[in-house]
Amino acid sequence: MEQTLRQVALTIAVVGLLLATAAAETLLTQEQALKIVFPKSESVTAETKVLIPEQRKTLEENTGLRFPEPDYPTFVATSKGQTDGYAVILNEIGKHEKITFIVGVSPKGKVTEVAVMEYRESRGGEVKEQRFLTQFRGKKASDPIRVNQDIVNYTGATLSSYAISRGVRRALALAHLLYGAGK
Amino acid sequence: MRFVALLVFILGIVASAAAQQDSQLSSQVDRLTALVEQQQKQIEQLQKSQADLLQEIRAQRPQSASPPTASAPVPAEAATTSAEQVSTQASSYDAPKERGFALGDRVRIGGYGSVRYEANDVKSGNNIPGGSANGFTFRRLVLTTDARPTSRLRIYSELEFERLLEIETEKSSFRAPGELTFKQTMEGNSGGAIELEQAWGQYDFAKNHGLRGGIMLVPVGRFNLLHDDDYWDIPRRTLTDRDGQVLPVKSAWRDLGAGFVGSWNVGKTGKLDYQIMALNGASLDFNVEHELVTKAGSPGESELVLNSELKLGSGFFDGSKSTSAFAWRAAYSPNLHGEFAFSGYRGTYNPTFLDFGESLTSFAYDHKWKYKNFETEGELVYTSLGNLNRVINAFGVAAFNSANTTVPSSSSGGLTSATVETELANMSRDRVGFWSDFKYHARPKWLKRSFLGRDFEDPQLIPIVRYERIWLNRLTDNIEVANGVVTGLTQENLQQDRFTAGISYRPALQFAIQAAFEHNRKINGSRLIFPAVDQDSTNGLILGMSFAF
Repeated sequence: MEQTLRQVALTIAVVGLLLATAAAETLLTQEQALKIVFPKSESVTAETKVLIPEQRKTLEENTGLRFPEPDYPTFVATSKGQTDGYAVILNEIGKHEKITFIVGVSPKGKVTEVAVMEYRESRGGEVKEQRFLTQFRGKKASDPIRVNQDIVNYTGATLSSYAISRGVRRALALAHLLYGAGK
Repeated sequence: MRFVALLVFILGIVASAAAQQDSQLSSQVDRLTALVEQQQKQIEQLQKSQADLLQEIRAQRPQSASPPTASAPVPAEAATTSAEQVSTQASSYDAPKERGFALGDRVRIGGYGSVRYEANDVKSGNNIPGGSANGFTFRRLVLTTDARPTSRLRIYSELEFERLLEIETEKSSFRAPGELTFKQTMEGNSGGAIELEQAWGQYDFAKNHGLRGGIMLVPVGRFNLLHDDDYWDIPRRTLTDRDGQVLPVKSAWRDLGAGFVGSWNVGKTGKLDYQIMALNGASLDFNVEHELVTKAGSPGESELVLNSELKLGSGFFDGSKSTSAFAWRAAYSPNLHGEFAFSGYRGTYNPTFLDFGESLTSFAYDHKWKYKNFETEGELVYTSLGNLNRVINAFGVAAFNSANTTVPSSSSGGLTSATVETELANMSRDRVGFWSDFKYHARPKWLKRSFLGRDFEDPQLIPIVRYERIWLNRLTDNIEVANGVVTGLTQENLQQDRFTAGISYRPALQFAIQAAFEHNRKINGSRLIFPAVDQDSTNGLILGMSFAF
């Protein structure tokens, strides 16, 4: 009986410690994601870009990636009449499900920020963590942006790591084509 | 005078021509203006058509397949016009809408599996204990279901079909004059099994922290946790975790219980993962086959041979045993390049035929580290079964006494001697083992250009080497029981190592075609541990295919 009480007390103590050190989980709304990507910008213009077949063909030939979506939600951030940067929201398949994330791109064509907005897979959610996403900062279209080359995959989240890397390459190509980022 | 008149005439002509040109330009500008206005109207019409089409497309898409509208909805105005000012200060956006409950949207069915072909120089031919004959092996097919009713709840299960082709049951009854016959048969291939490998639910009570309960993998070592076939590049599991084995229960070792899983961030790039759980604990399972031998020239005496198999299993799942074990794992990852982990298990195994329990203890260290295309991964496990001799003695006596009351004996009454043949089920008092993998992810350009890499995102060739070694100390091979008393135990120490070199072709991450050469070498003892044959060494070529979906 005494031993059981000790076990119960220990369990309660462990749970209490965990609750005290942990915070509630939240998903990123579009507004929250934009604040992460453009923290200081005065205004952000949302646009919906529809690719014409020639643009789609050019993108696919240049990157070797597919651009099957009918349209792309993009954003242009400005402050005092100057363009701060661009952002694209993309979906990439991890293993079974789409991962929704935003990629910020500077006018010079470099990745400023990547933030996962919604993760639907059962495994591999670690790619939401900053220690994985920060390695994309500063990447440009001429970089490989590939797992095991200049990107370290997350053990246990390899497919998701591939998906995010692929999405960042697509976002840079779109920002370059649609807004001339990095030209 | 003539000169002046000529000058006036020329000026007049020029002025007239200029006026005419102005008039032409003016009309041209007017035409262009009209054209621009016309085209502007056409653009507006096209934009309107585009917006209508977009709305139509969005309306036709299923909810789950319409991100970012499902997670981060674009304002309606932004969809109908091409641009919309977004305030970064005001909360002018709707929160993500909860999707309606739909079974197909929240439950995912997946799985993994593998097959293998082996050719070796094992002299014993087919039907080799432990399974190492020349031929194909259907290793397993595991079906997984993964459900997330909400973002903080998760239910996961794995159902394994291991070395199993079919199970067929037949039940019938026959009525004849004066009698009624019931017949019940079960047919299936030898060695096959259907197992519930995992079935648990998890409630995330905080970010990165959850309460998990059900049938879970025991978190000792990294292989047991990452036992999916498609994860590995050698088509055979390790001696330490399966074929030897050093783990108390061969992988996938699971148990029924509950506990906490989660992680903390450590600094900017570090992370500490933990698992701690209370479990029912491993069980000592046994099978006994009776064989009665009468000795010629010794009337009234019989010898009982008990061909028995004594091994640790994954525990009780019917509530018939008190929880007696706990397991834990702590893994520290300083950055994305890898992690180091320590784990352990402490409990008692309570054989059902005994009135006492013995301690069962395991400790493990494991790591994974990668640098660019190089990768190394390894594990060290130690297991102690406490005072195993006491358990084996008690088992021998219990089995003898049980048989003595049920097996017909000689006319003089009662058995006078018995031999208990204990099949090798790795009942060693303590054991140690380790394995270490070194591999390189090669992506040669010719691979991508050839048929091996065409149409694949990241095809790879992965050369790999593995070295492993195990020690089984005081392994019990035989129990001698006479008149209900254990008169002797045959025990020995076995030691073996294995070297494997292979290459894995991965057109995609979830699919691998593997080839490996392995060399097993006896270091100590009368025989090899795996394959369980009386040879100093064996060589084998293994071809495998693993997949996940």
